[in-house]
Amino acid sequence: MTLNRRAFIGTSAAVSATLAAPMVKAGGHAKPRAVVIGGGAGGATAARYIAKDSKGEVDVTLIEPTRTYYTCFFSNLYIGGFRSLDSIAHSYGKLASEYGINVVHDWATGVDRDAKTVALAGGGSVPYDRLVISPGIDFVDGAVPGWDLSAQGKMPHAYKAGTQTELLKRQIESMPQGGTYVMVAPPNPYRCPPGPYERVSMVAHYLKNNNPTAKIIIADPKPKFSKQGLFEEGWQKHYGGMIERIGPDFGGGNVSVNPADMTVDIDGEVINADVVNVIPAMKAGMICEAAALTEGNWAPVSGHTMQSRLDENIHVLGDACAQGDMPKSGFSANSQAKVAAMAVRGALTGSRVFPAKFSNTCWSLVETDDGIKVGASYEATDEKIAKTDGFVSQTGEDAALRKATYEESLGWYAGITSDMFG
Amino acid sequence: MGVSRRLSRAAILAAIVLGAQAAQAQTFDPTLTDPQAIAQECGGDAALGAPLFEANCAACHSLTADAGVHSGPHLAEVYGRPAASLEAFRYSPELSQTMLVWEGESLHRLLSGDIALQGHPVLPDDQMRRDLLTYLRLETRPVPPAPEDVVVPEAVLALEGDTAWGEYLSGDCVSCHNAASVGSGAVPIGGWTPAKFVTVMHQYRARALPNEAMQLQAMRLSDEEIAALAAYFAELGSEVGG
Repeated sequence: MTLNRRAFIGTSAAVSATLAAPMVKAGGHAKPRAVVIGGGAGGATAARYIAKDSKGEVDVTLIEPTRTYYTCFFSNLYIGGFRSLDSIAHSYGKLASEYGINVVHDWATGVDRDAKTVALAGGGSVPYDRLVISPGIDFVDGAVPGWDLSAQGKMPHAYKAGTQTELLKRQIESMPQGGTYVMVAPPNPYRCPPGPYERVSMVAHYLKNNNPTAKIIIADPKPKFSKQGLFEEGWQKHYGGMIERIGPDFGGGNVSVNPADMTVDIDGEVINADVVNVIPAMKAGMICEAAALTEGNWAPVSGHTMQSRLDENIHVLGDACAQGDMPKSGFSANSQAKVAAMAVRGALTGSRVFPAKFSNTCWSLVETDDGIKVGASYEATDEKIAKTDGFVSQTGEDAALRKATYEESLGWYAGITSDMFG
Repeated sequence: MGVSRRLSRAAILAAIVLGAQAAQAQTFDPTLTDPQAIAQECGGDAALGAPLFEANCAACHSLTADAGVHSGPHLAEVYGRPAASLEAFRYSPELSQTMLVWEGESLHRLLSGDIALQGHPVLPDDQMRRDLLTYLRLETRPVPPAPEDVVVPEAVLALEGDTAWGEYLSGDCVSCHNAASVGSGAVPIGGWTPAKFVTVMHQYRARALPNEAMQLQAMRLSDEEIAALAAYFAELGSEVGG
């Protein structure tokens, strides 16, 4: 067998890296090392695919602070009462036991790109030959005047699933009869384009059955939003009159909040609210900025390999990257992770690399058994990940098709979480 | 050019027909199926177009191919059809000589009288024409074939799949089709014979099977890619992928 260039680079990198920096895992060896930061749809999938497909040839470490991961997708269904919190909770046990991945529960606080090491909050550092970063999103400071992270206990974002989602659900359940829920919707681009509108649907579903005189107000800085015609048709049909959306024409983009007295100021009109769900403008998870991989709010990548445009030894996946046409979704991150895993494996072991292909489908639930979806296929060009084709559910579809669409989403949830966590 | 007019017309017709089939098979053009996209493309309201069709067209034209003999040709799948191309119908010489293809613009010109056809009525109002054509396009959408009528060419069935390529491509399949999802939506596909896999993908590609997500996948994959996936899932057996 002839040693190809990729294999040669991979091997030499691995050998030189063993001479650098102290390692978290004792007993250094000559295997090439892939380190993954973030255990969500992008990171968990990437770690699993690198480990699974390299069949032990690559040493894989996954750095993720939480032991229980709550998927952001389907967390709206928990708010609506269609899922339990347990049913969207996942652990990393199988990734460790069945795939031999070193799962390190710690925060990655920085990346030394010259030494090729990741610094951990708990001390120490982890060396890598290839690094995959998939940290999800953080919020832009000052995006909604009056709100910062210290207010999230009063005015939750619930845009990272778990305790925030529980808090929001509790608040909605505690609303007085005829009370008011206000959502401050985010500007583009943000995680899960239909997410805020599916959430409103789920809140409306709960209120219709438990608090039918309650009101929902959305302050929205965007003139248009994902699946708008479908959501508005559903809101009219199922929740007539309960949901009011204030778009930018009517000041929906000019919003400030006051967590102390639970008020929202929408273009000068002050609303007393019982629940204020603030979803601020977003940016790449903070590790991207700490590693100096961002331009503007996001980390630019090549669509061919998901490699950072600023460091070829680092791949950035999912919500955090700027890649082109794909929406920021769990499905997208999962799809991108497979391209990155193939590229990492190719670089570290010389395995074959094929042209990148990507898919995304986003399902949303509007009301019981009323599911809608939007999907597209994508390919990599030198400039970006470019959309090649797509579809969206149609207004006026019959109930059987909408039910089938919802059931398809249940199959997808079971499938993708198994694809992420084993 | 040294080709006679008649020959070149035949060649162009053949190319158009092939092109139309290829376009239908390979892209997810929403104006083929989606009423909203059709309304947007045609700029009218189908509900307003329906009575216009009844009053002005229905006496001579049917919307389906199997509605018996009318004095005018049927309009099923008329969009993309070359003018004067139905074998069962005798066209006027002037129409037979044209190189027209019926699509939004040419149908507009026919209905406005810009393309003069003896005895054919015209609608003077632009918006009425749009409403009528929106209705026409909606009602004459291509009807997908039955699954059993989808014939996969022998050469395609004979393609040798590259399992390593299939393994990579399978990433987009197993987000839904894996052991965990069976029973809640996606069917198990591990262990399918390559012939079954390829045939089902071609049925999705022809829209003979429903589900846009699968149709989209089938349309975006080349024959070689489908062969690679078929080989991979066949080799995988039923252990994963269901």
